[in-house]
Amino acid sequence: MKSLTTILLLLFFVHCFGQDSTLLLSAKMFDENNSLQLAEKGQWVFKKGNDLSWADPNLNTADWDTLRPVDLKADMADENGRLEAWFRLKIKLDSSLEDSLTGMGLISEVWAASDVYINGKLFHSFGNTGINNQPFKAYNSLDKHPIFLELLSDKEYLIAIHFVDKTAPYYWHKPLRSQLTLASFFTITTPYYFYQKTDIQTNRNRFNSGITTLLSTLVLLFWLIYFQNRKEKHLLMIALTVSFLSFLLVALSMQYYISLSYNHNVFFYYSASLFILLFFAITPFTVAMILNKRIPKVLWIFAAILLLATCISTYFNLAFVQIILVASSVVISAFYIVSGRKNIKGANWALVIGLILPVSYFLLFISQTYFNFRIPLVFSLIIFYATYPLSMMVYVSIWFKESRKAVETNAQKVIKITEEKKNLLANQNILLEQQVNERTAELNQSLESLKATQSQLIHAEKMASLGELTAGIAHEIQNPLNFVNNFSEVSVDLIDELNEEIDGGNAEEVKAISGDLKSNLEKISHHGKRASGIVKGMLEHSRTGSGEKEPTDINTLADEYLRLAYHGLRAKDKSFNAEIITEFDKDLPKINIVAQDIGRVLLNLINNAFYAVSEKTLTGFGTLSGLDSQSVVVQTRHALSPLNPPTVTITTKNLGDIIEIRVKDNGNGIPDEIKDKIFQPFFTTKPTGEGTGLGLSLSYDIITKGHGGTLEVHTKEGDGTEFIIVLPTNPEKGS
Amino acid sequence: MKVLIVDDEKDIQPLFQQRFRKEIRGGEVEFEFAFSGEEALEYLQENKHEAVLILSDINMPGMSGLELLDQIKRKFNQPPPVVMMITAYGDAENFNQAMELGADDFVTKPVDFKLLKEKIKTFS
Repeated sequence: MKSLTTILLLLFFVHCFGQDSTLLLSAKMFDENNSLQLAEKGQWVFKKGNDLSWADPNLNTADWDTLRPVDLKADMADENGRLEAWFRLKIKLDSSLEDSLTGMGLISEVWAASDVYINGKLFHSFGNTGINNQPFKAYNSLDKHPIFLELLSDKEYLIAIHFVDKTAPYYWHKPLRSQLTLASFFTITTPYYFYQKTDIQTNRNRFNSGITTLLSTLVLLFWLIYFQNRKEKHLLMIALTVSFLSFLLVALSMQYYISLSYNHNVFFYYSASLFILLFFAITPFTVAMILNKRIPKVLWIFAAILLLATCISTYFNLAFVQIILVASSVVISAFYIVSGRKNIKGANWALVIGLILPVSYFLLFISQTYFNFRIPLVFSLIIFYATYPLSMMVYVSIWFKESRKAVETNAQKVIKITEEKKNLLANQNILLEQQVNERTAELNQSLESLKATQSQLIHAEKMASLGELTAGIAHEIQNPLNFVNNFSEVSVDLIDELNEEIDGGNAEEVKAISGDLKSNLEKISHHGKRASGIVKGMLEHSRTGSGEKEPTDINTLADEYLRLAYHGLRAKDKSFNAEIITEFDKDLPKINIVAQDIGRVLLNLINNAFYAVSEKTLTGFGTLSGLDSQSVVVQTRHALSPLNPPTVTITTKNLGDIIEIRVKDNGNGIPDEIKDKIFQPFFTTKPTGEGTGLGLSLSYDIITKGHGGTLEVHTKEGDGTEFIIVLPTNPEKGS
Repeated sequence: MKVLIVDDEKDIQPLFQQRFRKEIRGGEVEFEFAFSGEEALEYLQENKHEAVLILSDINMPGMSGLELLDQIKRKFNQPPPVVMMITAYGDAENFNQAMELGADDFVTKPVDFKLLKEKIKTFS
């Protein structure tokens, strides 16, 4: 043993100082994947340039540099970015590898071309270095099996590698294409590697295709859900994040298993970087939107920075920037989860779990490099790629359930409110109907009382016209009664005288006195009859409705009521005076009328006419000057008289089938604005208490309804008014 | 003495003539009758200074007694005749107006002829 150690030590030193010192390979040096990456081990020598003779095992390599393949640098390339060089390494297998000798293999996993010579003989070409005048072609190691290597133990082999590589044009710092995987540049495998790799590949392919299928389906599903519910922006965020995640998986699969060339590989690498960074860029959005119900402006700025940094860091290969970006995304997302923790319930739990699990896994995955442990690939695939989309599926399904419940609750509320409203409306309808009934009853009552009032007013009007008559009648009656009294008294005296004359025997004087007596008695009788006639007329006037139509002389009637009206007015106003002109048609036939009704109409019209002219004389007051102030009122009236005396004209005319009665005054006339109203009941221009406003309306009814005639008014403001009564001579025809 | 009676009632003429039968016969008084204010003015125009006393009704169609009074007091003031107003409406308003216009006396209907006779005697 001691000698062996000494030999080994000796060998070691020889190896150190000599050229082409031999690397002794043992079973222990192989890793758990049953492979040994020679690129970082052994005593490699290196020389730039190309000479096929450099494959010769006996070549003196004293002028070669000691350099391991992993230590290759891009600046070793020429100005065109091409690096052509040779590596040489002596190996020897010890006896511990005895069992594996039958199935050893060689693999090269770099995007470069190399020709491998073993003991000066070309063993295998990976890609094309340009020998045999072929163009340069980088080797694509993806999914290749190891090249079977037949080695014997305890025999020294010289491995010479002709290596050609180019710098990658895509990156800012232009690394060698082989740069990233130089460690796998030259790997020796045992037979177990093959089986293991096959198993791994099979499993990986299964999981890969399974998860890709799952993700594709979910991506489709989420986009479909979003397009059906475009107002729900969180569904868009879910669709986007799941899409990015699945694109990342696809890009990585493409990069590692389906790259046709280095260019494709780089493209997929970029894509993968982009997708994972996009995923992290919008994750805070998703969290804020779902948990906080809004996206703060700062997140947009963050997303913009993240996208910019993604591009820059990818181009310049600034891994630490990317790590910072991912870390800040995680921190911000965590912040929104914490700040929105009140909202974490129901569907939102799925989001939180769907984010925390893969992110934790991602952090764990990164740290495995530093803390020397390995997580099985299957977990990566399931946890990292599947958790989030599946959680989102759970989220969406719960969210739909919650939305549906909310909608149902709302619908219930709406139905409840509608029912309440309906009931309310029904109640109100009932109430309204009640109110309408009450109002109707009230209205009916007021209508009744109005009717009663109206009939009372009509009665009042009759009484008023009776009152007007009474004053006239009093005067009319006074005179005949005076005559009756006076003539009787005088007659008493005459009888005394008569006796005296009889005693005196003066027959002539007796005759004269007795003649006077006779005439006095006739006068007493005449005036008595006159008085009783007036009383009779008064009684007739107060009798209402019972009037019988009798042939009547309109002229006599008009004259009678003219006198009554005049004296009635004079009884009230002693100073009143007016010129009365009567133009009666002597050929007027007697017509069938209710005399007291027509009389009332005439009285009314004549009264109005007198009122109108007296009004005018009063309004004329003050237009004259130089009068004795003590007799102003009378003076004014008298002074007006000769110029335009207050005049009331009554005209009757026989027009064949009809007769016409006109009552005309030269008063102030009726203003246009009230002309239409004068026949309306209760309309009056007289001061309160003086007129009932029923006179003209009653007159109108008496003429039109009672007698089938017409009552018209012609008026001109300032000039006067004329009422025209037209009565049919044969009222049977007219009414 | 000449007295002018103004009234629209024509029967006033036989009444006065009979009431003052003795006075007329004795030549103490002489009556003239006018049946409207206008007629009275006409008479006064034609027979100036004849009528010493004028008795007038107030309520007459056309010119009223008050108007007549006013005219008389303005136009026939040399010498001014005595004017007595007679009315059925013996109210204060009529009385005051008559007095304002210069009526010398006021008699209400029905006329107390004994009193009237006395009054006429005092004026004569």
